[in-house]
Amino acid sequence: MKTSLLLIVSLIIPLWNVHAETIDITVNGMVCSFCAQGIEKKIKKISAVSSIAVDMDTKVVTIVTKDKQTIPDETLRKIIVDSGFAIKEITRRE
Amino acid sequence: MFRGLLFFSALFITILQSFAHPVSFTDGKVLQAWIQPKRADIKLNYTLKNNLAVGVSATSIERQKKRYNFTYAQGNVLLKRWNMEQAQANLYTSLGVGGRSGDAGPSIVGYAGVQADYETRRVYTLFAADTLRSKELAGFTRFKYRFGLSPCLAGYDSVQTWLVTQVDHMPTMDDEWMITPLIRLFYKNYLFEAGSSTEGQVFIQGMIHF
Repeated sequence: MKTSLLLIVSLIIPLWNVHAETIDITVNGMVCSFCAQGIEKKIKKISAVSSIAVDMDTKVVTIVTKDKQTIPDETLRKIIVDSGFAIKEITRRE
Repeated sequence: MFRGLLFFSALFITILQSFAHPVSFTDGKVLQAWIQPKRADIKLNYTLKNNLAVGVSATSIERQKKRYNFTYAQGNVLLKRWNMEQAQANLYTSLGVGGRSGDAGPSIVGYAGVQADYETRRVYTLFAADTLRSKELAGFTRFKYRFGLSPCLAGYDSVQTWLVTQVDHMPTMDDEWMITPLIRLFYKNYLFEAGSSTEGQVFIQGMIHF
């Protein structure tokens, strides 16, 4: 019984991580489409990225990752800084 | 010595003027061309890092019915950027060296410029100055001031429209002062501007980031 329970739990736990992750990056200084285009171009090169959207009103770049994949904060920070901007905040949700 | 200092100061000021964005993002390229009746420029630059770009430029200027052509390599430096929640401000400088051809004959040419800008999604202002200097020829120096307003905000996938007024002061040109109202259209990595000065001189500019 105990073994069966452990087996079921070990099968269920990995399923919690199969969903794509949505990452919202609030970018200071992103006031024009040239700014956003540079960021978009670099983020699209990350293999874990499924889609990207830019909201100029809120200054938020939203990334949806591929299933079971994530992107470390450090990678995102480097891209934003290399693009010439500053990160105000990174939030993650599923 | 003093004249040399003046020259390099003017050159420094000049670089500011010529680009909307003299430095873009690391590994980014910018191709820019603008045409006025007596001056045409084309510039291509490559951004090595987020505060340094290198490029090549060609400028053709007509003064007193003579044509002067300049080609030069240049470096652009982002001295300081202020990234704010709703705004961005920049301070750039550029220096270049190349050659001259045309009615005045061949010569080495020096180029310098500076640019300061401030931009929100609604307001845009810029001051720039640049100068081209070559042997046996008074320099071509230009001071430029711009102020623009965007009447409506557009999303990233839409065209953003700006109404801009540009004031040029070119002390060594036939027309020292020029005021040009123009329309500016932004779409992702494309920019297009067109206008006509109060004297009826047409102005066109195109730019692409890639």
